[in-house]
Parts: sequence; C-alpha cells; structure tokens
Amino acid sequence: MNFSQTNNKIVIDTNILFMAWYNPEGKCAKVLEKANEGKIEIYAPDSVKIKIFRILQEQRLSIREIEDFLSDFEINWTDKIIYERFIDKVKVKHKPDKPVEALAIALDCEILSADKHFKEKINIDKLLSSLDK
Amino acid sequence: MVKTISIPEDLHKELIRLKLDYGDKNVADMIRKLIVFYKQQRFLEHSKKFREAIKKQGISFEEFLKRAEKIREGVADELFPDK
Repeated sequence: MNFSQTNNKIVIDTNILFMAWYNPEGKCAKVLEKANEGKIEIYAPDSVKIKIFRILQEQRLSIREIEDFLSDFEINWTDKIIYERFIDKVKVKHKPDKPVEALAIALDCEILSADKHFKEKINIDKLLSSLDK
Repeated sequence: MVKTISIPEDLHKELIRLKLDYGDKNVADMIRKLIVFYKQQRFLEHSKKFREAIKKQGISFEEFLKRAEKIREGVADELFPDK
C-alpha cells in the first residue's frame, strides 16, 4: 500500500517508535523527523502511549524520562473516544493492533507498522521517497 | 494568532543576524528550524539512553521487542476487555 499524498496523515504503531530510538539513522527515525519538519502528520492512539510508558518503565526509566522521550516527535496522541467505535470494523485479528487500525479508519489514512499482523500497511521506502520529493 | 515574547536585546540582535545568515523570510521560520535541530539533538541523546537501558537488562533488541509484545497484549486486555 502506498502513502497517499492527498492525505498527509499516517497512523503509527508502538514498534515504529522503538525502532527509531534503537536506530536513530534508520528509516523509522527518518519518518518521524519528517513529522518534526512539518512534512507529514503522525497520529497514534492513546493506547500506544500507555504501552510505551509500561514498556519503558520496565526498562527502569522514570515517568519524567519517558515524557521527555515522547517529546522527541510531533505525534498527535488520539483519545479512545475518536477511534473506539471503529474497533469492531478492523480486519486485524491481533488485539493490541486493533486501536491502530481503528484510528486509521477514523482518520481515513494508512498505517505505518513493523508488525507482521497488518496485511495492509505503508511501504516505508515509498513513503520516504514521496516525502523527499 | 501571533504572540509576542520579551527577550533581551542582545538575543534579539543574534536572532536577526541568524535569520539573515540562514536566508529565512522571518524569525519565526528560523526558530522553527532551530526547534527541529534541538529536537534532533535530544532524540540522539534519548536514543543513546534507550540502547543503554536495553544493554543494562542484558537483552537484545529482538528480546526487548518480544517482552514489549507481552506488555502490549496486557494493556490491550485492560483497555478493551470485551473486544
């Protein structure tokens, strides 16, 4: 699936953020930098934020540190109330991924994920090349 | 909406000089660029801290992602128990 330039929004999944922090020279980091430059709007459900807090707290990071981490990127954290009614319409079977797809339906945009559960997702190379044009 | 902030005169001069050096249309555009640069620097610091935290746990990034997946499943059950 290709990124549509008519709608410059995308929804990202938890692992995109982890991959960016792990490899700041990688493709995921580059996409997030494009959001900081105002070239793309990135959205994520509030459930992704909750997951990141839990996961990084397991890594012994404080709440303050995690908040600092999350402020690296321009991400529009979206409340459950926006996407909840689309949860029953998602195709993905894996429960943790349902809010991501539901938000993509709510916003009428595509998903950037490293997760194998999503059959339809953005090709990151094509996304980056379209943003570099 | 446009807002004003008070800054010392020497900083004002420095901002105007930088605006001219960078060829920006206005100071706001230049400040936006500085914020992007600042965020990039902080991101690199956080990236280092993130890798160190994983290393301290004595696990690989792949193992970290596996553990993260279990937490994701737990959070999903809490948020959407009946889905």
